[in-house]
Amino acid sequence: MLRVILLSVSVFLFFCYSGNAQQQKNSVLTKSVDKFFCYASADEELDKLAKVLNVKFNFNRERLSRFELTNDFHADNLEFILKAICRATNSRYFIAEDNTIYIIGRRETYTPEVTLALQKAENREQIRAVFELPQKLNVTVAGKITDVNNGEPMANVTVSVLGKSGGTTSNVDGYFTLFNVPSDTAILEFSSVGYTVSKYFLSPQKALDSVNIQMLSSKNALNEVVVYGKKAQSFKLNQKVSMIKMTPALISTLPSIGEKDIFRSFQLMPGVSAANENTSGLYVRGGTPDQSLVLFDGFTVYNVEHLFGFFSAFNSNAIRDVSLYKGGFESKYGGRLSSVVDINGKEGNKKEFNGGADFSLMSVNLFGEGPIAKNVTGIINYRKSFRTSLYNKIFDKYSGESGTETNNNAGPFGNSNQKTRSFFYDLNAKFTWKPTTKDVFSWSIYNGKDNLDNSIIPEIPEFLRGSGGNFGINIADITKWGNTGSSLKWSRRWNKKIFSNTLISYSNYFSNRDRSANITTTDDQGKETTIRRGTLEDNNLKDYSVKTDVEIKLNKHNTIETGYHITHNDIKYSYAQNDTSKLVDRATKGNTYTAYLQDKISFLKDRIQLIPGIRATYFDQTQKMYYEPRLNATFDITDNIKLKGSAGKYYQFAKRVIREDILQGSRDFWVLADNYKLPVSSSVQYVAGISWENKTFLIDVEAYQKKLTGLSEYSLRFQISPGQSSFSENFFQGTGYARGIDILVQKKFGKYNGWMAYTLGEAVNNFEVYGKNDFYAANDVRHEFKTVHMYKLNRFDFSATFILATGRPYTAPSGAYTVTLLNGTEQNYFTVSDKNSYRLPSYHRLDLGVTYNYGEAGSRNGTIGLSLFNVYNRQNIWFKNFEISNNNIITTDVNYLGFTPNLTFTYRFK
Amino acid sequence: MATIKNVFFNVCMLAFLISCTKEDQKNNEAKAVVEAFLQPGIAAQIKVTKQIINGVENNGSRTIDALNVIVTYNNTTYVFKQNSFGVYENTGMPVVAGATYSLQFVYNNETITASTTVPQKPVNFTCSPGSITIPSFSGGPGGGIPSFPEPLKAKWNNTNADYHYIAIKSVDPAASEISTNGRGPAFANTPDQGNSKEINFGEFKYYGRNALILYRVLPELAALYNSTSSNSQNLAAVPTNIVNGLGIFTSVNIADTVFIDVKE
Repeated sequence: MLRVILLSVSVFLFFCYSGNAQQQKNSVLTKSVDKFFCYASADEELDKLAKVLNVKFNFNRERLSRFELTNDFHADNLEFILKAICRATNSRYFIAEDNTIYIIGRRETYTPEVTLALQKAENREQIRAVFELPQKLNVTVAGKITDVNNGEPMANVTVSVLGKSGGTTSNVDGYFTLFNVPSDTAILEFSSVGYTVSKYFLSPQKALDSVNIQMLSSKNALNEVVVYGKKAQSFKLNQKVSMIKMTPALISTLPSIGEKDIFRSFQLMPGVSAANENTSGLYVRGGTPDQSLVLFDGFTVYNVEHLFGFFSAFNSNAIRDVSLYKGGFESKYGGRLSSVVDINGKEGNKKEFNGGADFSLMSVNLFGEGPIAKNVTGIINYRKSFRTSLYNKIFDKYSGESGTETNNNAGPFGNSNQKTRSFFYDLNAKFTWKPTTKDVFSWSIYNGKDNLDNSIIPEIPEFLRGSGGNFGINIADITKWGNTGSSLKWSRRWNKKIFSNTLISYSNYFSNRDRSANITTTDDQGKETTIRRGTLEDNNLKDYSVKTDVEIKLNKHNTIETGYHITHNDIKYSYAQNDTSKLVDRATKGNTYTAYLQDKISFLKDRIQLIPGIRATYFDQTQKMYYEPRLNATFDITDNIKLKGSAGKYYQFAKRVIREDILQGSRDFWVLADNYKLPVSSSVQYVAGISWENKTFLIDVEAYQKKLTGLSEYSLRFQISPGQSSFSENFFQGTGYARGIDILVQKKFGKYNGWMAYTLGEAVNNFEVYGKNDFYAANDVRHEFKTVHMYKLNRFDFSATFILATGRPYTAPSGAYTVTLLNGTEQNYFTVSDKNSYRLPSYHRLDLGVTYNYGEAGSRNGTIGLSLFNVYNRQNIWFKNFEISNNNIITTDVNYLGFTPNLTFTYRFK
Repeated sequence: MATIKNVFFNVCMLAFLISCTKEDQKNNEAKAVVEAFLQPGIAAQIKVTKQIINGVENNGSRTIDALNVIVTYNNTTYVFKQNSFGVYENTGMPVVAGATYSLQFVYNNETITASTTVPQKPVNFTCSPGSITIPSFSGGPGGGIPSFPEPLKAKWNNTNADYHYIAIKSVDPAASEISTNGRGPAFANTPDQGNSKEINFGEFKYYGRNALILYRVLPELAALYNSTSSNSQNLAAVPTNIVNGLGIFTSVNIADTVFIDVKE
């Protein structure tokens, strides 16, 4: 009996002890971390984890150092983290008596210490199987992807099952739905440009329809002393046909002159011409900037330039991401012939307040962001230029004016003060309200303006001032342009399969030019008289739009996208040479009503993806329907090799027309097609390409061809035809085509990364007014080679860019002559070669940059940057000036900027 | 085989050179530049000069002499002879509003032709007030303020939206020059299609009696005022109504001249 009692007591004590030990071990495993990012080798991460959780690990350091981890953990316990690490490193773990956690390889030869600990472990079941058994097969996973630092939703993130081809991308609000995931224990991989690749381990214990993924910006990672961001790309090219996605974060390391500029960065890509220092507009595959649709948070931006085009109108600090479609864009985009730039603004940090400032030698750029109220975030960015020697250098070069303050002899009026006042500013603000987990409302505002005042105010000599009357002469030379835009967007995720976006927007572009003299006289009786003479130009465009886009994921292989766009355009343009006669006075209003439907179909195990689509627009100015059939296709021949192609038709209803102005520089203005003098422009495009991509390198080749009809130009130079009443009808029609091949070789990751891009292109126009023959378009560039190299060394980022391009075509005088006009003045005229039959010399330029990253991510940090533009001071020719002297034609080269250094400084609170 | 290849190559090169030579030669030949503004009541004059060729020496006189210049009007051919200034002239050819005149001559084995129809005389040209007082700007310190005049208002009939241009000419040989000397806020006066124009004091160069001449001009002349390109960004062919040549063969008609007294 005693024995029975003793045995019972022993068993009881044993179980008590075992239970206690088990409890202790379980308590170790239940320790959890709020945030834990694994972006280094497994051994390093285990060291960090040991410190954070105050636990002890034992592992084979040599073996585990070979595994790179890319996992994010949020409020996960140690058990979950260990399972993930073991899965990633093909290991198992067990907890020894002293609570040391041993991590052992599945086929590893154990050390005596490990063997002993293993033997002492209570039983083999203590070695937990890390490969959980799935409970569900063929599941659908849905969720949302945000930036871990500020909670910004992330669009266009590639979501896939690890080790499998195919997948999906997150939509504009960060939502994704992935069908046909093999099991509820699969590993998902998330990758996005500018972010470290993230893995997520599904588990039967976790919900599959509300997966929240938080990705780590590689910029933050790069700021760390330890290089974590080994898997961050500076841009992503190979996601869709002819599409490049970029985030401003990584562009900050590229050399810049004055401003970090997303458009300038796109110019380093194949197919986007870079040999234009004086325009940040995009010349994409032989197209002109007005043929690119630029959307900022859904509203159309009609002018993208600051300071005569040297900078784009977009503040990089306000931009979350940008996608450039070089051609073959889908049916949901329309209204332009060549390309699409879709910019998403930041929503603002939803976790905490953050602010910062950027300073360069010509501007200051401030921003503040943070949560405003419950579920409401906001961000405000403001940038303004100031006059420095760098600003003046660029200003003087491109405004055609010299000096900022000059004294002119103004004849009888004595000296005059010509004080040039010039500045630009832009303001971005965005407020986002998320009342439910399914709804997002956002209000985005943009306002930017350039102002150039080169007016002359003569100083009236004392002797001319006296009793009685007075007079004043104000010779105005004022150029202003800018944009104001706003959009109000409602995004709703109705369920896992249906997502919609509804947007109302307003956009206004204005451009005024006033080069005139206002002569105001006041006589003895106090009577004031004003006379105005000169050139007055006014272009004002208003765009009111409403649109809805709906995405319906029918199943893994089929996603339907449909929607409507309604746009009302109100465009005015007037051009007068004095206040009594207007050469051009147009005011056009028009509506476009558009509906589209496209179907994203994939088959052959997702290796083939087809997106047939149709876009139909009714344009009330012409009272016609315009149909735009489009097809995009990709075929993954292997995991590394992809074939791609697209074909489609594109129409443009609002277009920019260049008005040649010889004396005061050409100007452009927007007009609405009328199908009379200004036809609706159209293009037919074909793209075919192939790419090879592995984890480190990408080689991409795309060939394109587009045929353009209904192009327009305006000129006063041609005699108006008999019966034509005025110059306002001096619009000329033409056609054109562009074709070429873009090649990109990119090293995507690593301390050293970069790319080489080459484009072989041709852009040809035909305007009957210039003759029957085709001629090369002014933006035709035959060869363009660009190479970008970036190297990270501790806290320093070094970068170098080199551009080599064929010179642009130009028209040279074949001769000249003089005619004595009615008032006796002798006027020189040039006779010309065939249009654009000459070429400027090749354009080439080397820029270097170095950026020092100070501080730590999450606390005060920033950068100090030095850029050297045009390092070897190449005298690239902008254009040639011709004059007649002693019966001979004298040619003078006007060059682009020479060597120009720039310093930048950025500061972030967090 | 090699011989055939060589022959083929040489033939190709020859063809290439011939075609180039012909084109180059053509491009390097100076064209005739015509300047003629036929006007009723004025003896018809036609100036013909040589075009300046880019890249070659263009020294010496540009006038083209000894041409057989003829103008046909009303089925009659008028021969133009060079005067002492080298300008071709025919004092006997009437210039009539509404009539068409056709020019023809041969230069460098090419027949140069052009034609123009003389516009109708502009009517009801008025300008008020008939005088304008422009103060002297040569005064020294201590002088009083000049009282500046309102601009003159010129008007005319223009129901067809024709182009008009106003020229100001001093007709007083003894007139003194206004010291603004054109450096005031005068802007390029170009033809336009309006029926009125304000003439501000800065457009007068001389005191005394000035003639305001209203020209009715043709579109080919108006176009010349907007064709002064001088750089490679926008250089394009200048419009001309001369076939196989350059310049302008046009006609104008003037309204009854209005005189303005410019006072000090």
